[in-house]
Amino acid sequence: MIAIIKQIVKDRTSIIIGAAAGLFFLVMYHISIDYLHLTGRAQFSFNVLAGGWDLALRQRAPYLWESLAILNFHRIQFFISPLNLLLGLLLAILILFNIAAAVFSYRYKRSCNLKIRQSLSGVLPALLTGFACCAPAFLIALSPILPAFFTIYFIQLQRFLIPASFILMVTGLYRNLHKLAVQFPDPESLPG
Amino acid sequence: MITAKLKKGNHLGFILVMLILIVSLTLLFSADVSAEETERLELIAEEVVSGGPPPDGIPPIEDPQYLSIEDADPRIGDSTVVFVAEFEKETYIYPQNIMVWHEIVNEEIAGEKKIITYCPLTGSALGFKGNISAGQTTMGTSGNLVNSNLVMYDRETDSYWPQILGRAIEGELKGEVLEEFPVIWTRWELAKDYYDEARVLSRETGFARDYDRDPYGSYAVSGDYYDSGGPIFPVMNQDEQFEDKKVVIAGRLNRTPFSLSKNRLAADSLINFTVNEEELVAIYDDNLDTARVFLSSYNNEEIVLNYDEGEIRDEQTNSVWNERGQAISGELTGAELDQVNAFDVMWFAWYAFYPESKDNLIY
Repeated sequence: MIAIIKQIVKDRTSIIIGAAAGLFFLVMYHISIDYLHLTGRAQFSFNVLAGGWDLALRQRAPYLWESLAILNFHRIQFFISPLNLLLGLLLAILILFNIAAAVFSYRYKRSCNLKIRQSLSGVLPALLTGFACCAPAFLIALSPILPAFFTIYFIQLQRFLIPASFILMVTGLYRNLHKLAVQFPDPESLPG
Repeated sequence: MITAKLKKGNHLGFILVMLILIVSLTLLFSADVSAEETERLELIAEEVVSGGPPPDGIPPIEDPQYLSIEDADPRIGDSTVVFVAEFEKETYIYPQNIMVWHEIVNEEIAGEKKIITYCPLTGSALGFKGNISAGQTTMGTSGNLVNSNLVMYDRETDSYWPQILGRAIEGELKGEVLEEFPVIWTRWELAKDYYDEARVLSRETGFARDYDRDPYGSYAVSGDYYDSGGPIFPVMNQDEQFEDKKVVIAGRLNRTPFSLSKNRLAADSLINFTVNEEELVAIYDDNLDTARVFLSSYNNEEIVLNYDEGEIRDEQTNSVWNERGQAISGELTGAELDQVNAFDVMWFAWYAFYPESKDNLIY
């Protein structure tokens, strides 16, 4: 399996598309937790908050920690939370490899029986992450039509969505890499 | 002599029986009230649900910084809702766009802890003194809600205090009541002109939040959470008759709840009403688009106020009064009515805690 990972990493097209998807996810993740947004005032500044690591380790909600710094770039405001950046990066790397594996199998589909649809399914759990992060906005927006008890169930469910997303993506990636490894016992023989 | 002794014995016996009867009845009555109250608090405590965040996940402001009106003005829109706390020497203004992210400000004024609170889900802003039987305390956000209302916890005993109730429902201090002080719900455009010396809560809270955005919508436009739809979280009692998000001016007189429609009061300017055979008067203050409630008596004499050609006058002496319940001219000049704390709150939330308040509702 290590050999197939090396081959995927060497395949520039797969890795670039995977990296673009991972980066896109990282941006969307920060938008969904409201740490990346547009503000009404254009300004350029970088402020580190006084709380230090005590602040950075302080939880706002399940899998959401306080920011340590604020970056204002024109009308874009970015709240930098080291722990959320780390979590986002971890999930983005999983997406990168899931997508790269899918692209890799698509590029060599003549010699590979792995279906692109099957490979991409490894990325779908990432949607759970977005759903988990957007939950408060989602609940407020739907409050006129959702029964109140739904909120309680949703909040209880919310804390499991990110771990579930993580586990499903790891499982999906392992399954796809395993299949690729079986299909390409000698990946270095593939045309570049 | 024997007769006299018997009579004396009879008297003593009668007095003893009466004393036992009085003590028993008192104990029985107080036990009943206490049991009823305890049961009510337990019922409320059973309805506490998690709102998602952990304790202090919605971080109270512990070290509030303030600006002058001039310095704060460029960053606050005229239509922004603000909460005003008038203390003896100074007035403090808390913009809603900051409070919505923190819900509690722990302040200390003249050595006394004060807690300014706002719950966006129930549209209620209340002030409490930090004096509890366990000492002076600050409050935190528990991350829980009951009837969609913020549940605070005190940092001395961890007891739970729903904001609207102002009373501990769980923990060591269960049953204890917080002392309230009035917090005025108004708009920046009115407050900045009225209180030109006030101190305004700054955005330097120590936390990264987008204070230009309200996660629940906006009070300035209609169709958002603040004026449409129902509660997001379950409530203990739901009224079918009136709109959930209708704003009422609500309060308690000796624990008996009352409420008045804010729109109705704004239209009528002044409403006299009765709670538990006690006469009250609610006066709308158009300088701040707010309302105040007073006891309709002064020096144990009844004072009935009415609007008369744009002036508030009492029926008894024809003295003129202002919106703050102060006599400003006439025989009673200098007199001041006792204020009963009343605050803005969404009807659904008040009804959820106090369904009996419908008996004292002016709509």
